Amino acid sequence: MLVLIVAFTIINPLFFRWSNFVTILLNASIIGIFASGMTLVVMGGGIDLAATAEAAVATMCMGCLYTRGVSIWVGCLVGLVASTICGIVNGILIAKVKLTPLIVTISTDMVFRALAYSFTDVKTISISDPNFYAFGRMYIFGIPISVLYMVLAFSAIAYLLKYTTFGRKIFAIGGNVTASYFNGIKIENTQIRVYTLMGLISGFAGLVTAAQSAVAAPITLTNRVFDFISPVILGGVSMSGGKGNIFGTLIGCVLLAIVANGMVLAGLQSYWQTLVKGLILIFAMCIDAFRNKQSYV
Amino acid sequence: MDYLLQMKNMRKDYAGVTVLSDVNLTLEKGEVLALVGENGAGKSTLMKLLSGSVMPTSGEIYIDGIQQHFKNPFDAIEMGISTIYQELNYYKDLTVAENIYSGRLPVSKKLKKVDWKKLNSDAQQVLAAIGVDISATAVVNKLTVAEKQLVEIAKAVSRNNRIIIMDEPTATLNTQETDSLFQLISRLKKNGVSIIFISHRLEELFIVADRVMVLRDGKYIGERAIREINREEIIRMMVGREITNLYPRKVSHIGDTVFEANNICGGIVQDSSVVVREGEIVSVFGLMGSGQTEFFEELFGARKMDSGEMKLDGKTLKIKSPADAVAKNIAYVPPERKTTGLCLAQTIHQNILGASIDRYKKGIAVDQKREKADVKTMIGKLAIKCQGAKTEVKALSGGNQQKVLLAKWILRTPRMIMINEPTRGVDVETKTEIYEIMDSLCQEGYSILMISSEMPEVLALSDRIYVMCRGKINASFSRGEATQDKLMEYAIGW
Repeated sequence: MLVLIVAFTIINPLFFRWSNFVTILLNASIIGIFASGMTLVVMGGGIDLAATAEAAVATMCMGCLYTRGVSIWVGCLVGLVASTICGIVNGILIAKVKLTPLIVTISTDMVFRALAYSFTDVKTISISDPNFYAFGRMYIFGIPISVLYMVLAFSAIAYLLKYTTFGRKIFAIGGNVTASYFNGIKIENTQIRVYTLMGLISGFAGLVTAAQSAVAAPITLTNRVFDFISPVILGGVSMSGGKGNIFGTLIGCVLLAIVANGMVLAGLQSYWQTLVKGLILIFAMCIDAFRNKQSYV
Repeated sequence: MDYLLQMKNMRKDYAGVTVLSDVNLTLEKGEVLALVGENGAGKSTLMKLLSGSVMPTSGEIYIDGIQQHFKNPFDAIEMGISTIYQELNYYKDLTVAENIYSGRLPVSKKLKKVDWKKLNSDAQQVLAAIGVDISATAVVNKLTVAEKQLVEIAKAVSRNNRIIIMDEPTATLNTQETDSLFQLISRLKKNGVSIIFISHRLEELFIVADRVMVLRDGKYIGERAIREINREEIIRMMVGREITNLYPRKVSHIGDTVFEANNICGGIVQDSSVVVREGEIVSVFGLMGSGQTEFFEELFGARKMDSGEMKLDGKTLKIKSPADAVAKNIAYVPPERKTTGLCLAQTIHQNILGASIDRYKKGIAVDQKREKADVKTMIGKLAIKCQGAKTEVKALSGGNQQKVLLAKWILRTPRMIMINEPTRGVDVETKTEIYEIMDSLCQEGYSILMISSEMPEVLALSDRIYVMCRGKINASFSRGEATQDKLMEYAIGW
């Protein structure tokens, strides 16, 4: 990380400024909130590619209700409930019907996203509520509130993984689902809870995004899902589950935000930035693959 | 005398453990050789060496007097050796013809596209040649098990293979299908094909084999022409090892009945009952594939039971899933510690606590102090050799992994503990340690229900032994009554 910081500073001295570091953290924050939840999902041996669509469902529920004169906070609450239900749907399809997480969430991503569009008939809703802005844009002691949300999310997930029986079960299932079954762990129950929590966290991240931009747009965060899967894998959570820790994810998030920011300041074209993101994901997966060498026998 | 096949001084070591030593085998053209022996006698290993799927530690293989070095299964197939495994290998969604010619489909000269006409007519000819009435264009998945087996044989014949190894081919066949398989074998014999036939069903050998060869504990015991031997003598050769007491049990006090299972049916398991009392080690002995594992998994709720009832401490027991069984404080140590027993990539700490997660709940968190203390106690109690509780389980020896697996369940102080293969893949020293652990558990009043495919282990440890044959418990012996011959007699059946 230090190497990156030095390199980017040499390329563009503007990089090494307090205000730029705040910007980096701000950019990392939304991704970080998603990534905290994704860490749980991947740790349990799954994946949720519908996370940003769940966020859009929450946002558009809120937006739709807002246009009908419902209080913004009630809207937010309904939005969170809606995204949580999305999570439950994923959980049931994966745990009970035993479908592959990848395929399930690719499909539900389409469904949830379409629903999000349908709530306002594709319209983007501007929101003019100063309290709602504050919810997303406030600074506390010079630190953006969304960064604090991220820290809060990471602390909560860290606690959950380390200190609760739920966290232990996620580790166990990710480590070896058959052994966990023989250990008497209720696999389905635990998996559903993981995806439910992911739905809730995604919804929250969606609402913070809306507050930052003062609009509820159904297109929010489209195609951004790998932005927060990359840091999870880069942070050392095994793709097959059961190994890793949440702090790795946090470092992964910050690292990727530094890279993204540095590339902008270095004046790279956006397609080059996309290319680098892709390469980083491939790199992260290769490391994971080497760590868990598989043979055919 | 010229032999078609000669294997000389075959030896195989796995990580310093010898599973096969100095075994010689000869096979003549058009001969059926029956290979018999208990579980773990080395039959499968010997055949794997011949089929090229395992490399010998030392030993020589000659075909038509020319020495061969098989590096992989293709080399063996090339030399005309086919194996028909118990678990058949086939592409279930392809046709019979495609399966017979898989990897060598006939192609047209110019475009190199598959010549379907030739493929199907060739396949049909092969099937006709061995007198099998199956359509070459049928999808394999739609066939019966017996028919799938015939397709495998057809594949071997189509390659002009001269040696066919059949590993328990009749285990999944009914009487009629078995009869027609034997007819086919005699036709193949007439065409000069030699067959190595592995079976636990001794009565079949007298119908189909010319010669019988017995292995025991990885060693060659003897061979006879089938005309010169009878069933009793084969059994004696199979089990006739010196009785050395593997492990002397301490005298334990046996108490009241703890667990009872009555008339359990489901899958291969038929109408089987067991009783386990306090402080007792009870074994269910059977040849591989007789349904012991299925039986245990049904008792533990991991597999569906069709009918039957269970009682724990006199109370009716309803178990629908392992979670139910664990909640009732029944433990199950599965036979495959690497796949179903442990999370290899995780630590000793995580694994030992794996079945007791909810027991350490304290408020919304877990009591980490108590966890650490208990893990430490278990590591000490079972003398698990490791750097510390944070060591990954995959870094441990097989014996220590097995101890971690036992520790996971002993930590729960279960009412009854079912152990499937307590010492599989474990070094000799740790074996004795595990016997000591099991013995002292009994002293403490635990009840153990065990499966082991190693007869000496069963005889040394058990207070009572049930014998299971083809899914049914057909005999029970007390410690004093049980002998090798009797167990084998009932395990083979008839």
